[in-house]
Amino acid sequence: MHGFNRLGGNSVAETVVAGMIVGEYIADFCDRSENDIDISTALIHEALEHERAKLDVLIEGNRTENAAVLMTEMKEIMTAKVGIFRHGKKLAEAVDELQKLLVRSRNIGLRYKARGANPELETAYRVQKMLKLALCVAYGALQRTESRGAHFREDFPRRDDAEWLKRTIATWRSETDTLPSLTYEQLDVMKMELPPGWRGYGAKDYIDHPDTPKRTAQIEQVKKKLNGADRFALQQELLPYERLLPERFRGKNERIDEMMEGER
Amino acid sequence: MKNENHTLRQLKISVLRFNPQEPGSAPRMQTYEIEEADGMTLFIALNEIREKQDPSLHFDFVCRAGICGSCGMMINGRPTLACRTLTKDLDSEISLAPLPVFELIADLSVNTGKWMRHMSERLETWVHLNGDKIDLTKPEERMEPELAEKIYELDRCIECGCCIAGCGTVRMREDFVGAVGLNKIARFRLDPRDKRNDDDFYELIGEDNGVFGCMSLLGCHDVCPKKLPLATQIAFLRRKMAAVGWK
Repeated sequence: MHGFNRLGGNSVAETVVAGMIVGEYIADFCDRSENDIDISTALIHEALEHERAKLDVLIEGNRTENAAVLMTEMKEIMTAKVGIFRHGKKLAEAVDELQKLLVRSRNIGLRYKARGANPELETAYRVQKMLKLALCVAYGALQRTESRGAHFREDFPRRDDAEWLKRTIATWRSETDTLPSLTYEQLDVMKMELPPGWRGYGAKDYIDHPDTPKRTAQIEQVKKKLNGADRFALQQELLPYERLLPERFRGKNERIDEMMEGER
Repeated sequence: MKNENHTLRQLKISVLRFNPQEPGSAPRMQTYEIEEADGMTLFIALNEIREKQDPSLHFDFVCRAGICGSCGMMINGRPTLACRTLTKDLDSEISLAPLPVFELIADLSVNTGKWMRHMSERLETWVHLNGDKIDLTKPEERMEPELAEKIYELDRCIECGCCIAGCGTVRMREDFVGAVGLNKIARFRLDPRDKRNDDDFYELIGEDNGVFGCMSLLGCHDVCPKKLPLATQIAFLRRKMAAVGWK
């Protein structure tokens, strides 16, 4: 929506507009009978029992690890080794130490064993999940041997689109794993309206994706072909999206510098 | 960094403990001792107590920066936010109790959300379009920056509940909407997008559980952690509502 989407300001506007569109889209989706789903109550029961068993083990088991201690250690590792300036060596240490914490977190026992509102139970339940998430961050950062946005590697300061223009997908495949399985989803430069270029700040020091010059040339050609047509025609050529919107959000919007037909 | 001349105190923090969910639990004071640290807030102190001494201690925090409104509690008898209270501003013996009026969850944790939701639904604290349609293809209606500022000033309320805990009228009238509720009406009354007029607002607050119940004790105004001009707003609303009543 904003193209150069940075922190705070831009993403607030983006959240509001996206929320409006997505909410409508989901409501429309649920409205269509072909999207009905059939879930057996047995399946729901199974999931419930699975979670309940985890809580029971925390409360009733005679395990010994202290959830608050694990949380503090995790925070310290993340601050010291997975912070603003990152380095392969530090990240590798962090991944190693976090794995050890994850193993220990499977042995958490509570000192305060009340059911219902119980702050220690809450910490215990959450810290196990936090450690998994911390490992997704640290392990993903260790594998990503480039710098991109908020991920800055001192040992790989350059952005590398050729190798890393792809999305990290982390999956926990089994309950006993201590590392997530990472897969990568390639982004298709040839379908982009604005191929990744210089970000407008810092040195122009990055490695282009091989498709970037091709797509840039293609876009230039489209612009030439359209010969000064308005931005809507260009959008339609480069990245048509209107059909994806809920019906009532299609069509043009008035802007201060772009009055609508017949209202000039 | 430790200051050589500055000796760190040993704090004695007494907490009113009671867990209605726990069979046999009775209200009692329990005292914890911890060593003060530089820049320590009650948020830090309570977390340290829970982590190192007593995992069963209930209290609420989310943002630890005075914007979520979760950590309102009675600190030495005065309702305020624990995350914005530095221990260095207090004596070494500190007493903590849950906010009164609200439903007690346990120890220092109370359910302000339930109370606030009830108040919100009763006062309909949202923009009423009254049949006006919003045309999404048109730019938003413009607002004078001065007016936007005035609305924003009142919108800073975080619903922490301190004004309710510090209110005398609430003790006498269980259904009193309190400064938090009246402030919201003042906020929507300013908003040109809300099409309700003073007759509509009179239906909501023109009674003893509304603006006429306030005894002007100014407790709300004194304790508000966000320094909202609550007494001023209530006095102004009372005048406006009285004018409707006399018609």
